[in-house]
Amino acid sequence: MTSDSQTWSQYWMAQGDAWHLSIFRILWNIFHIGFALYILRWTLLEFHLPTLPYPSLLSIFALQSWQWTVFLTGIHFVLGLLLLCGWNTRLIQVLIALSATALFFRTLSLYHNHYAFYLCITWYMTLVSSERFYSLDAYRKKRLLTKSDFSVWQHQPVALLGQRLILLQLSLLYMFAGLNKMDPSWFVRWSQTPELISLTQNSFVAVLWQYLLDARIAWIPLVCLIGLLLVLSVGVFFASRYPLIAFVGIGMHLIFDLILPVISFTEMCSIIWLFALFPIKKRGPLGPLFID
Amino acid sequence: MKIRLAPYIALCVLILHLSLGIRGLWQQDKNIFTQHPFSDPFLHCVVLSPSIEALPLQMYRGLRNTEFSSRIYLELLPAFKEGLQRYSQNDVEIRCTSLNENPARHFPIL
Repeated sequence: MTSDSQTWSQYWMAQGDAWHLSIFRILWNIFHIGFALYILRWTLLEFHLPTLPYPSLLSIFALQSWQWTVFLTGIHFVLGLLLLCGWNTRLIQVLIALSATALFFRTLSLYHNHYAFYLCITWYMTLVSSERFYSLDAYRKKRLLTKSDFSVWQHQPVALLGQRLILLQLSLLYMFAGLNKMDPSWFVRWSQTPELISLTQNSFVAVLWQYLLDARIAWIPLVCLIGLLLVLSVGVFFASRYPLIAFVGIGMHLIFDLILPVISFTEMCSIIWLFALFPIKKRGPLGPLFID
Repeated sequence: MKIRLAPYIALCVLILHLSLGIRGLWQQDKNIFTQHPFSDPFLHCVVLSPSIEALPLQMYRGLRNTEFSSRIYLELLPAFKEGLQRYSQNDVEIRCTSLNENPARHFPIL
């Protein structure tokens, strides 16, 4: 039991190189900008309607007027650009998480699953030291320090807690998506969505699906999907050792996106899968035995 | 300091999301308006009001008609009703039927 809790503590207290954290900061910026545009568009379209407060304490965010929301959206957009440049990165990461929260919870009418996911990841990013590479902060540091000191600062191990929480979020998402699909009624309901109906009008998929139905094996791809989601929910923690897992995850999202495109979700998950590859862990000479 | 707190932060995040996820799974099929977002049901809805013309031309999430089919808005429909009610000061009802009840739209999956 003590050993388990030690392993748990060691995992979350781990430190590593910061390069991939900076890359993730730059890539995740796509969604800061996208979120600002999403909120701006719908706030302007719905400004004449009453806000729909979230329950309990969150209802405080509904006090924001639509004019303030438009202004805050502009702030969020600018914060996104500053984060892209890496100017006062750690502070901006906190400010952008705060503005995202205020914008997200203003009205229930703009609720979006994928932006709820975005909000969680943005909060975890406040724990990430992403300023060490490709940022104005790093440029400023370079001018202040000698070459060797700068190199030491840049390559100093940093806490990986933020990154690991992001992986945990993706893992939980897969786990519950897999568990939810174990209920056969999910497929019955889902079989009536416009997306699936349009999917079955695709000539290749329709023929394949009909074949599976005729052969009474249509359940096989569904069970495989559930299994894959559950395996990936664990596999996301091992992608830095087995890169193949990450490519399977990205492949799954690309296939989903080809047949059933979902707003930003493929991009979000694919970027997190790339993130999961780092810091790369070397495999030992005996394959499954690893050097940590 | 932050490093020492890391395992506890992770534990809190895990407990929070496990609770939310289990709540979502548990409530599924029990209350159509609080289903887990992943449940993706598909409904046909009609907005009813004695003075329907008093309702705004463009409603929440770009709904332009008082009759619509959607799955995106499922969790939001009770809130939409409240919002429209406040706008129109008339009794507003959003009546929805699951497309499960319409065999013509059913596509066999199993």
